[in-house]
Amino acid sequence: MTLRSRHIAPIVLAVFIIGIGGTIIFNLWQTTSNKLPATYTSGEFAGQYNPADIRGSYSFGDIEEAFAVPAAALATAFGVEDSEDPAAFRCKELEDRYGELENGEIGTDSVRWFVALYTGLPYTPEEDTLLPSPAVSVLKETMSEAELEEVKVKTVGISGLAAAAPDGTAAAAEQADTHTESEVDQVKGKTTFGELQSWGVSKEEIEKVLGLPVGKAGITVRDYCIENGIEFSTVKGALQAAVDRALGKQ
Amino acid sequence: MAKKSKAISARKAANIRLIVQIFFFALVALIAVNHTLEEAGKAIPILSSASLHAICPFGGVVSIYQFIAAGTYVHKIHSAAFVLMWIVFALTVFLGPVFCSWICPLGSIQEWFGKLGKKIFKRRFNRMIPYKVDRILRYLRYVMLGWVVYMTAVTGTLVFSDIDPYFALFNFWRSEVAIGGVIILAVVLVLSLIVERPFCKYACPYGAVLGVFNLFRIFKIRRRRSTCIDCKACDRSCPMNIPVSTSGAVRDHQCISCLKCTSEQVCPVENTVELTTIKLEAVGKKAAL
Repeated sequence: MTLRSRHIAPIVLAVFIIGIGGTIIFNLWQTTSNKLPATYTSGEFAGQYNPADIRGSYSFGDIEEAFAVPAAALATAFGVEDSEDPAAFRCKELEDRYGELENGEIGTDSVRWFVALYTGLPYTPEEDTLLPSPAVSVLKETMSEAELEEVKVKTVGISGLAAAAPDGTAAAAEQADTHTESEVDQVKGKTTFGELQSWGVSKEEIEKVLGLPVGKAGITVRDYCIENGIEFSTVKGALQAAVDRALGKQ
Repeated sequence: MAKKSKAISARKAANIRLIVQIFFFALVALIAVNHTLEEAGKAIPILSSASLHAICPFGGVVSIYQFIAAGTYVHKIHSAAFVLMWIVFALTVFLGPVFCSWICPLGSIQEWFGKLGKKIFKRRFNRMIPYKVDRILRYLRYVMLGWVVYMTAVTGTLVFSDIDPYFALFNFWRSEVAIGGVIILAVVLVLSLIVERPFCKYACPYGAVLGVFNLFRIFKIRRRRSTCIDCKACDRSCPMNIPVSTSGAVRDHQCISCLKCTSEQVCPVENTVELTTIKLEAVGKKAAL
């Protein structure tokens, strides 16, 4: 059998259409992850969605659906009411908007923490996680003054920041660049076991910190912790110290 | 008269491929723009707004290890990339790397820049790198493939996206794109003015994977020795500089099934260079009997 260009064109298109169409019919065609976070596996909250598994790609609408925290409340708390559709605002956009601040960061982890505080679910944020000051006003609806005092320590005013970089402008982009560089050897929520090992931390050291066998290279340490009922923030510091030792920073 | 009609049919064949290339280029560009629009809450309905990672078949290739080891995909990769990987593999088993020559937008844009280079450098275009150096450089893409697959397996992240000119091409307006990718894209486009498809030839890890299929693909570019007049038109037309005129069946790992060398396009003798399953010499002998 001999083929010419006039045959190949329809063959290529047909194979793509049939292949993609077929997998859509059988629900095998996914271009995004599903927006349902993992659940607590044990304890008082077993079976409930765990805010620790909120990802940067989650929109405020996704969070409203999973945690019943209104998207409008999230928009107010994070100072993005100016967004045309708060329900479509993605957590990762906060990093573009505010970037790394002097004392920490307003980003996806801030949303995790806010959701946990709003819903009363347990979650320990990362050490450098900050909340924007409007979040405190929103949390007044669900938290006592005494509880809020602890939160206020880790809040930051955002009016100046938002004015400086309202839509991820140059200032925000510059901050984002700095952020990317500093991520190289920083243990974060998205750090994988593979990255830890590529930074020189041995399997034994990781196992010592976690008290568990090392997870697969591609799995994030945070996901592995959630899966095994460990608060990521409780091991993050020790892992960072191991990384610093491996890189000769200590 | 015959020459004129041959030229018309050759142009038609070339245009068919060009239309398919433009279709896929425009489709990917629209999806990339729609991805940005979706984040602003203004997505075009019906059109996919998937991220470029989600619709890149190479994402499936680099996820294979993690999928086997942990049953999950690499960060930012989803089942769609796996589906596309299998679709392209299926096409490649039959037709060779048609993905590279008919579909890949990065290949297309290099080719279009090359047309400009051809006008500037005329016959010197695509012939400037010494043969010996060129032959060695061709294997660099396997080094790149090994590095990408290994690093992705070890880190579980898309390490290639930071230097990926394809990602940069359709995301240059987003903060997500790495400066490394933009620089490499610029270098590739400039090099495309002197070498045809430089990234495909020397650096593309996905082209490296698909190139292996040339060893056992079902439809091969075959040359009938008995009717070949040894004019070397096939050699001159090949964007990947493959010596078609010395092959019975092209098994070179760089062939991209563009069909430029065939009797449909540049070969002046009918039924002499074809994309076929049949050994042309056998057909020639039967006809003689």
